[in-house]
Amino acid sequence: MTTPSGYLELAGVEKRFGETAVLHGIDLSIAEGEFVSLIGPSGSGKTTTLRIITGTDEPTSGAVRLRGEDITFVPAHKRGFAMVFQHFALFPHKNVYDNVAYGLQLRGTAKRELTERVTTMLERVHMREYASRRVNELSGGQRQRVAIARALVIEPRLVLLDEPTGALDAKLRLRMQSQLKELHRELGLTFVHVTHNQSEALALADRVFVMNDGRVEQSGPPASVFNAPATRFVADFVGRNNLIDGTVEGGDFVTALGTFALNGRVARDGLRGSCTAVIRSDSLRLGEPPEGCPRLEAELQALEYGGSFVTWFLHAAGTALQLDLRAEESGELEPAIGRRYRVWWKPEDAHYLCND
Amino acid sequence: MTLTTGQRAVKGLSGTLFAFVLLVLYAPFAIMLTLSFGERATAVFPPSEFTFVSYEKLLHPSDYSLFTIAGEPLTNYWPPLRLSLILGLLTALLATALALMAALAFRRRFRGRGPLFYLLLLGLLTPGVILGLGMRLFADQVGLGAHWYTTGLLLHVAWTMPFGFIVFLIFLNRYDVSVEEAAAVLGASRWKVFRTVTLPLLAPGVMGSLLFGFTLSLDEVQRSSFVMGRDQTLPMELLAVTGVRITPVVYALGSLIAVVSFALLALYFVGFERERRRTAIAEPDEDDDFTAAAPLAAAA
Ligand SMILES: Nc1ncnc2c1ncn2[C@@H]1O[C@H](COP(=O)(O)OP(=O)(O)O)[C@@H](O)[C@H]1O
Ligand SMILES: [Mg+2]
Repeated sequence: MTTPSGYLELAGVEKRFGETAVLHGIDLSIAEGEFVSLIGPSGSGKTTTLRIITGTDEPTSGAVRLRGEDITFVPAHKRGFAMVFQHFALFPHKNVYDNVAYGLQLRGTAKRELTERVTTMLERVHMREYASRRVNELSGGQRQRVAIARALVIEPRLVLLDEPTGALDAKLRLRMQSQLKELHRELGLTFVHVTHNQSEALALADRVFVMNDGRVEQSGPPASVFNAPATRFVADFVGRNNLIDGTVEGGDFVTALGTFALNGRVARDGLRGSCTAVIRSDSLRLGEPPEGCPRLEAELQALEYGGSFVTWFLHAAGTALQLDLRAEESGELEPAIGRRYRVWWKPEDAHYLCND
Repeated sequence: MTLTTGQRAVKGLSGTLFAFVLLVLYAPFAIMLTLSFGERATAVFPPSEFTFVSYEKLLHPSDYSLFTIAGEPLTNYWPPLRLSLILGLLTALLATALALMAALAFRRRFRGRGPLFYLLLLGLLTPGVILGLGMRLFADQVGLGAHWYTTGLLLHVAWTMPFGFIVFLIFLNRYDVSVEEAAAVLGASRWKVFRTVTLPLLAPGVMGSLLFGFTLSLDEVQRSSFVMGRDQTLPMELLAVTGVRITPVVYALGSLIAVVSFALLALYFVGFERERRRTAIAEPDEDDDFTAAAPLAAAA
């Protein structure tokens, strides 16, 4: 199966370590110049997928193709890719310059060109004045930039990044994200990026692949995946969603929290069987609902202050709910832990996922 | 910081103990060094005269006029010393190469890994006499003549290899394999990865293993006595001579060897410290100059 967009393709990639299956048939197709993110919880098989793409590991079955050519068993050093490792994996016995020069040296690049390319790349990541530093004298962010420079300087056919900002603090992470985006645009290379941080995927990727337990659960442009999660797992993992499980009986949605009228949606959306209502945390409201809006009572358990808004954590009949309010709105309500509040939402803000 | 009486007592006691250990370790050497400048056959401490005659005897073993002590063995230590040095060097090189290969292999899982591991280390625990005797019997069975370069070398390598193996295991324990993968993805073949990443990073281990191989081989008598045939290493020669009569020449030789060993060790530690500081990945400090850096657009 070759689609015109298929620059890099994974077809039915499975991986077993002894008895344990870690990847259960991964299909990916990535276009040239695209920036894609693999996103999923820890242990979902993201790193294993990357290792199979780089050639540092082999799939148990399935194929990896580059421009339609089967490279499944081509050794890593012959693929012309580059990888930014989670903990950078810089060469501790080489200085910054020699780390970045390594890939070009292996390619036998002439000295003059090598010096020029390494220097240019170090300038790009603002590390030129550190060229002769040893890597163990660098801060986390600096190491990160050396790792990126080392990967990009060889102009790889594919750039792989395994949680490249995972080891950085929040502020640095945002900086690094914008720099990565910038480099991607300027160099026009194809990036495959792994993260368990959804906001990072949202900020960087042209397309995301949500992975769960060795499978791709959903893929597409980040906005569409975040706004219309296709499975309960995706709804739970991406975005800040409330999940209410129940069953569709007649025209109603019957849950442990109460029974909610579905009005015309049962027929229109084809709802039936056991379903999950997905409601974004900024779509839940407090106070007196207008006529015809679903409502329930929930006990306030905790508050989290996030700058301009406050998250309320509530509990009702064994279901955890979270609700984002603007800070001043929250303040006016004088929230008290342990008190019960009326929670409601507009029917159209609930999105139903049913497993038939 | 103030100390309680108990703490002070413990501190004093451990200090004394430490001094005692140092004394036990180094006093014999000091005595030997002093005696090597004495002249008479019987060791009297402290010696009443100071002379270099024992060192001269070492240098000129065929100048019989120097050997004035009654019944003094006229021994030429140079051939056994040369043999010991050559054997030590060869042993160190071979054992280190083997130990490195074995340790690298043990990073992977394979069938029989566990039993093989203990089998490799068994050589450390087997009594030397048994190992030497066994080797000799084995050599006789397969018709291998006992020489330093056959059974001798084989046994020395087998004896020292596990030490090197342990040294490499210790170094590999703190070794991040993803560095090798990074090199491979950047285009390095397996051999290139070994040459440019693995070996440089394990350099202190290589030095340690070489040192172990060399010193253990240089010192080895028990096992050697069965397998060297007519070849005599220095410690074997010394043991033979001292069985007859101990003269200050032996002290002179011992002092020379000890001084050279200390110098080698000092060199190793200086080199090791430099290497360690060079390759250790310290935790990064979190302050970062990134915010101060110009926006990317300006640099591009
Ligand atoms: N070499 C290995 N041997 C056995 N299990 C492994 C190995 N590598 C990874 N796994 C398992 O595979 C699963 C996926 O791991 P990984 O790809 O690292 O996930 P992620 O990167 O998404 O956190 C995990 O359960 C992990 O324990
Ligand atoms: Mg991972």
